Amino acid sequence: MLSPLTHDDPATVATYRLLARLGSGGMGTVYLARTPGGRTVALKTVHARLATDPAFRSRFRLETDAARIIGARHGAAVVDADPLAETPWLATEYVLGPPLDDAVALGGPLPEPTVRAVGAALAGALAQLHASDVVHRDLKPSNVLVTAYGPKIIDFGIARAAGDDHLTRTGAAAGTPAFMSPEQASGQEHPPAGDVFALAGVLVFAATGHGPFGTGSPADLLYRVRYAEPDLTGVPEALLPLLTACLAKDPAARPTTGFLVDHLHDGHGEFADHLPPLLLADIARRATDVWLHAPHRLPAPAESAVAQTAPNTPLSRRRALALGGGSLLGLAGAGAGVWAWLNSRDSGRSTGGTPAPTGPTAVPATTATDGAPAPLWQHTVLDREERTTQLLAGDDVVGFAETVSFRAVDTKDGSELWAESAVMHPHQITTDGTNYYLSDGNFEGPGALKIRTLAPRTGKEAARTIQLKGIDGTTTELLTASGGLLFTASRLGKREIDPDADNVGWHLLAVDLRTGKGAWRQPYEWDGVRPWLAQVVGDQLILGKNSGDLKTFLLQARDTRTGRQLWKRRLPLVDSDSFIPGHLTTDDRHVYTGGDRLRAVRLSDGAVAWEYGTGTAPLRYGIPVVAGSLVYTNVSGQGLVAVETTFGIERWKEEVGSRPLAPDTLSKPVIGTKYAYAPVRGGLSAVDLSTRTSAWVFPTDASRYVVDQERSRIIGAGESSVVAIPFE
Amino acid sequence: MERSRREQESARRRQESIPSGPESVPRGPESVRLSHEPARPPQAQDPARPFGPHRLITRLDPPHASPPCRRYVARTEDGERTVLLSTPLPGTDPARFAAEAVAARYLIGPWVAPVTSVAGPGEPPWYASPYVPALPLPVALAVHGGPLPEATVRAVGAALAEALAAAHGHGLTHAGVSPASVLLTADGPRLTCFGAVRAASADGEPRTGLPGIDPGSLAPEQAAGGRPRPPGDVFALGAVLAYAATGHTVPERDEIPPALRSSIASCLARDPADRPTAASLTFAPAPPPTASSSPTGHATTLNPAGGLLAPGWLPGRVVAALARQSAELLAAELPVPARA
Repeated sequence: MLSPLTHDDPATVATYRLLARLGSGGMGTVYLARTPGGRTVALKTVHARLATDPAFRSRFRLETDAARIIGARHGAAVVDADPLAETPWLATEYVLGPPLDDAVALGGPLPEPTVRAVGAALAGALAQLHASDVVHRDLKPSNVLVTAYGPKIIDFGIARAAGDDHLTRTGAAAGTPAFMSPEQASGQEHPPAGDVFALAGVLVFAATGHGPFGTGSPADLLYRVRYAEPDLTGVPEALLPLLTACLAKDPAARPTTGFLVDHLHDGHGEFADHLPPLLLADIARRATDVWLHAPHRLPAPAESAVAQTAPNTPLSRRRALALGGGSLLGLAGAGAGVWAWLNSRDSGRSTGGTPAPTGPTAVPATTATDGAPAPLWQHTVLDREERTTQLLAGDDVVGFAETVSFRAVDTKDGSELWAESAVMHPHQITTDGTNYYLSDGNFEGPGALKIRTLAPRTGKEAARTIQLKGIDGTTTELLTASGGLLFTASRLGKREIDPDADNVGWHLLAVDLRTGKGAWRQPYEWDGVRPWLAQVVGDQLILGKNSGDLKTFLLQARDTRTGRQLWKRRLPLVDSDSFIPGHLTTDDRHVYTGGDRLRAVRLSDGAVAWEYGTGTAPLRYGIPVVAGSLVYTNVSGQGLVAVETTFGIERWKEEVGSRPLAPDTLSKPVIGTKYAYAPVRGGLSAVDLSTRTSAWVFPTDASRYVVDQERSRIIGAGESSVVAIPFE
Repeated sequence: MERSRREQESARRRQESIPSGPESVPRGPESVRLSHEPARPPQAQDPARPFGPHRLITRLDPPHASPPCRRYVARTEDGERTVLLSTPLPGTDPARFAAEAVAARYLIGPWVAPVTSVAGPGEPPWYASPYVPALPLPVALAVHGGPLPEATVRAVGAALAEALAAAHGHGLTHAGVSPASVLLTADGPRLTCFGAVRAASADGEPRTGLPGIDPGSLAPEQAAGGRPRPPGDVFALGAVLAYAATGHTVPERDEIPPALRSSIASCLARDPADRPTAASLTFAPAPPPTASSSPTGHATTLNPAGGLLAPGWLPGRVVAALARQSAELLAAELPVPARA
């Protein structure tokens, strides 16, 4: 899967320009990279600390040699390598197919014809390797890539010439316990027949989703590999005799690779004929996505935390008030304010009084449960309009727009660092993770927009004030900032008293933060509702807002360099209370939205890649959040659901426990490594990722959350409190 | 008349024979060596000059195919961007082609190859779309080994009907729909060769035997020289689907899968007034996928055609050919000019 480069990845390695990260592990990092002539390759590099170890360098050289021996048919074609470089590297073809473990995770155990075709091809590959006196020694599902033309074996990290025990003596860890041979597990020589044993393990995994010796601690696994009978539950009957024979403890009793080639598959048809639809679709997607990937680089860590929270720019207060009257508590990024605002549309017409399953109520006493952690700190705030915009900037600072001011708070203890009373509305302030940028809103002079840059920790001006003439600063909305550009929605000209005059001259503006000058401006059609959600992904500025007639949610992508519109997509806003705007949730490929369905809209062209949910039941899908290859969302009346990002396939659903919890679809969940934190009415529910049930509920009135990764804490804020709890 | 179209069609097929795939996408893995050598030089009849910032890597169409425009995969000289580049067929009017290229920029939507750059003033005409792996429909049939499965035909039909409906809604007539102008990509078909019929000759002259114009896809009123209008696109869509489902654009009625027969036949009505509009065409199968957790999570209500593009919409060998093309082009390398 392609991930953006991180801030400390080099721009080039040798003559290769780095485009994306493919993966990273204990040994080094693998990149997608490009030659000056435009050839795209997978470039494996070694960690600097390992590169200083001569033994490791020789292993890397052996791996390179082994990759050349296996060749392009059964492995990844080697393009070039330099094991002697300061950072040793190996360039191979970028293989278009998922690792076998991902393939099984995507669509479940593979059908028997697929297992047979993969098995026969792998046996053929091993036969060729063994004929060259090379033993793989680390065959496992993650080292087998399934392409449309057959599997390819990669990662010869411990491959070696037969009879050369040099590497064994160096004591380097060898093999992966779950797929080791018994002889390997007992520290003996791993003969070619050891690869046959491992191959059978891989095929059992492909056919059933579990290895023949299960999972557990390495010591348990090593014991079971040596002494226990393999667990072949779920293996198709016709495959049992062959796989049982391959898993014999005695290497001499195992079939040869040639026997396996002949008996696993009769060779009819092409390899692709034997692949299930989901696997084919995944291969096709990989073959396509690599061309759509726009290289970009993540900012430094403090900024990446912000990348998730910055789009919390609220909707237009004026619009909210115009719609709902002065009594409306207008503004919120994604909380009760939005709820109230959307409901207001219904106030003028009969909707049959559908009961709203979401919405703030008093904290039910039942949600305070044993096991919830004590707060790390807790303070009261005054934000009765619940329009708190959380902006996490560098230096462990989180900022909040309160009712009458903007407050920056130390995430360590919640103490106030500074406050700025010129900020009356959340849309006056944004951040790129380095600084806060704010406009003076109602205090701006006529026909001028001033943007001040404040250091997050001190609140002091960190750069010259930017002044732009001919722009109405009082109505300007700061959208987001990234890569040295600040984006605003602004009206050209002066503030007008006549409300009709407000309807003309609306533009999206990009301001160069370094020069303080406008970078571009592009007109957009005023329809009564201004953009209020923005997120930069690579070279794209993604914007979302409700249409003026409140019938659709408009998503659009613009080129950050020119402002040119790349695509536009309308999503249904069928019932005002069934579409819930909130953060724009994006990953490298999609923007995800909730509402009547959970949807993934492709960043490349704005097409809807998939939808999850039927859209018929009175179910509501909350504001989603992405973590890894899963997108999580609260489903009203049900709980948290995890859906994989590529095809929208459900991975798991929260098991509903004995306690009734009302999922809050208006707040964004937070995903940790132990828990998925799902906002529920009256608190934050920690859904244990292993049991998939709620372990505890932390009672709070907070309605939005941000994570300080550095300090491992979640900071939540609501109408009357701001609180920090441990994040795990 | 029907008979003579059939004859023309079969004559054309005899002439072409079934292509075996894009010529630069050879079959064995051995051919990966291609990538270690400079990109294959353009064919003798191909113009050798670069197209704007692009250098040609390979032709998209097999040697004996006759698409309405000449299509290449090309790459910018800095190696950064790979594009699908279209140029006029030899013997056609470059000025007309250039005019259509400019108009094509107004065509947008997921099922249209978006035109992102065109030749500058004074340059020989070309236009380019970002490259994604794509097979011309005739190549897809060749690699699959015959007519495509019904599900594939439905998906192609729904997507193209959606694309044409959008174009017609904006007052644009595509006038270039034919089997060769439809590309299959991993996530749906793409319409290319916008305006090929208009570019081939002026209105008012009979359009027979024009280079690149597939007689089986040309509506009778356009063949007679009539100005291309939306019903002509609908006729061509019927011919494309007939081709996908049977292997030729003028099928016997009983060759077409029963469930598709009436839609395709109505598109192929001789009288334009008898044809449905693109917007009214439906290709959805009877029961829509239901369960939220079903693997056909693709069923989207927003691109109605997208619902038919669930995993499995393309046959395995077509996916394999797309992956092979992608791998070959990832490995292709432009000769790097010596640094000054």
